[in-house]
Amino acid sequence: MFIPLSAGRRTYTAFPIGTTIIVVVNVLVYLWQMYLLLVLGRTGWREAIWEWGFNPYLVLSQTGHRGLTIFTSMFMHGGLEHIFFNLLYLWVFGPLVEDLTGSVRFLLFYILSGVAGAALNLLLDPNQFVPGIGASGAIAGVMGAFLLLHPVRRIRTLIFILIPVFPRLPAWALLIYWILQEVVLGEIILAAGYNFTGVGVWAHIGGFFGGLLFIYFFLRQEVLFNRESVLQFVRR
Amino acid sequence: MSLSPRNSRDALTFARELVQQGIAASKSGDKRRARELLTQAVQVDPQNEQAWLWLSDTMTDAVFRRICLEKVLAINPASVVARRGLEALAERPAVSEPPAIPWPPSARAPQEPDPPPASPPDVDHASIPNLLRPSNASPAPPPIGSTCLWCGAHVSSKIVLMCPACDHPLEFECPDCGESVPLEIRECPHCGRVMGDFTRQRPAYLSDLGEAYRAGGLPDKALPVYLYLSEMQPQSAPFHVYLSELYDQLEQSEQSAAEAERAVELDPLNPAALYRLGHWYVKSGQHDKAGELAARLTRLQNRSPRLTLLLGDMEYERREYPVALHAYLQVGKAKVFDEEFDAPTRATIHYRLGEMYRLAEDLQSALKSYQACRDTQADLYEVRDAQHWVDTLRPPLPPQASRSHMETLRAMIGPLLLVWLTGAVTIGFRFDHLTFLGGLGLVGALVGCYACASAAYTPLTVEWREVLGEAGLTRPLPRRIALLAGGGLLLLSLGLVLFGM
Repeated sequence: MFIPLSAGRRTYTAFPIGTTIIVVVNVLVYLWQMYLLLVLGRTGWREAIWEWGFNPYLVLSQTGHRGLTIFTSMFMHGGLEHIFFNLLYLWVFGPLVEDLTGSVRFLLFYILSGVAGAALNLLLDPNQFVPGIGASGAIAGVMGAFLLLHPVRRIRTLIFILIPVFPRLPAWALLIYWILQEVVLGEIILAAGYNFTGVGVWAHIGGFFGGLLFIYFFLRQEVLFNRESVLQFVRR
Repeated sequence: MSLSPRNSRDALTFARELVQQGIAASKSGDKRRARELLTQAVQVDPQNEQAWLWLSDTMTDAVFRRICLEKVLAINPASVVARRGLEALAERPAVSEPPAIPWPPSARAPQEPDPPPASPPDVDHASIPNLLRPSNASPAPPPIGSTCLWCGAHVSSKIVLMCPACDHPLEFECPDCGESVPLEIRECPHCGRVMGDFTRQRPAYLSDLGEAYRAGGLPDKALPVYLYLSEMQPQSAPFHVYLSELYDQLEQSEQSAAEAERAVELDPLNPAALYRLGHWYVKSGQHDKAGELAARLTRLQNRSPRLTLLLGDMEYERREYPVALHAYLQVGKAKVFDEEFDAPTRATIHYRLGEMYRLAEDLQSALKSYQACRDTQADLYEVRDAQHWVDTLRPPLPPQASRSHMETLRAMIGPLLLVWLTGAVTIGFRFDHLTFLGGLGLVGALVGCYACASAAYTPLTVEWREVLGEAGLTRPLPRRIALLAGGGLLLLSLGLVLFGM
């Protein structure tokens, strides 16, 4: 298991406003979930997840909030560990992608990645009845974009090999390893016929490749039109 | 004559020209004209021997002729011509006649040329005036300006421009026409300008005069006026501020600073004095004193934007960048920023902000500041350097980037995909479930995305040029309208897609 810690400095944005907004909204929604847990108990918590989580089966049967749940599920989490690691990944990779898109476009891109993850989930696992929640589909899109935009950037990573070590690994190695792991897991799920892992693998894969494909439409003009400008980021 | 030397360097040349013209007029027999010219010459250059000599020739009054010749002897005691002229005058009885110097010169009727005078022996007729002719005999009123209005001392002749007792001027140049106007005259006889009542309202007279000189860009003329004023009212800080400003304009920096210091002593919170003093400290590199003044300015409540700018300048020069940055940002936020400061000042503020942001590695803010500096279009080194930094931090786009319709398409595809993919998921990719409202949402998203992308990315696309003219969407108002309308339509479309399918 690896945990990315930092990915270096930005060039265009002094402060990653878009990433911060996403983090804040996620935290607020999680606090709301915690409030439900405390006030209504586990029933209230579960009901909220069933009502606002993304449930492909219910969407296909045209019941519940359907498309709206794509957006609501993107900001809900199943536990402290879930939200912590999601937001950690977002905080490491998000600002550097936002740097090359701008805050508003980054927000749109993030949501589109989440929608792409939900779409693949719907297409490949239409009978999934358990609601999917979490920002991981959208964050996977950010990671896909990062692979395209900053492939050689070194990421300070925490790895446990008996003892914790902090190597600076190239982004391409980390991200390709991560997506391969997801694809292999997806293959196993397909072979098994049902998702026994409890992880939204299709949302991750859909988000990652969605991000890889769609980031082009959100980049700043100067990033596209100035090779030197792009190389300046890549070389860091 | 409306001509007047604007600075002391031209004065001597100007006087020489007047003398030459006066001599020519005298030789041609136009004594009145000669007298006007030579009178001006001695006003400009009281030490011009030739001017006094020829002026004496134009005088019909023996007393004035004697005064002129005495002046010549005072300047050049070896002047034979003047000595002989005086001897000739002494041999004749003194007869007074109307004042020889006309006041105003142009207001007097032209006089007939004097009869040809008898030449003294051994004198060259062509080069020197004839001083031995008899003067016309006619009764005369008392001469003008015989009493100094400053100190009350008796002044024997109007020819004397400064009171010999108190060394104050007996006349000032009219700020409008440049002609000399004696203190006792309330209106300029040449142009009609109201000069005021020197006798009764001396400070008002001088204040008005000084203000007019300053407004007319005549610091060398205004300076003595304010010196007299500060002599009369030594505790008045504003006069010292004016003096500081005038010295500064005359490039006498140390006197300027001394006056500013004096003004601050008298009025420690006088903004103009603090401003001038602060600039002196900055210019002269007196960082310790600048620091003290900056501390005083920091404590000052309700600082004007100019004083805040001064604070920023001083702290910037002292390399106290956080304080300087704060001060400059305050100046930039002032409502009157554009009106209060000229383009070079604004350029310098933005440039310094850019430099400080760059040092702090806040490159985006640095870029914005450099861009703002460049946009002032002031003719400064800072603006050229700002352009360099803008190009370094954000290289310029090739022309096709800002004009290509493909860029609009690229920009609109992202949000459009978002709405359309959401719609597809909402109906579970079963497009036979598409409703009218849902379809409307999909089409609306297309239009909204196009409007937003055009306004944000490619304001000069052909389509918008056709609709809005050559400026396309570059004008702020249509651009904002397009952004708002497009964004609104996009949100509406998303709502239709989510709830209308």
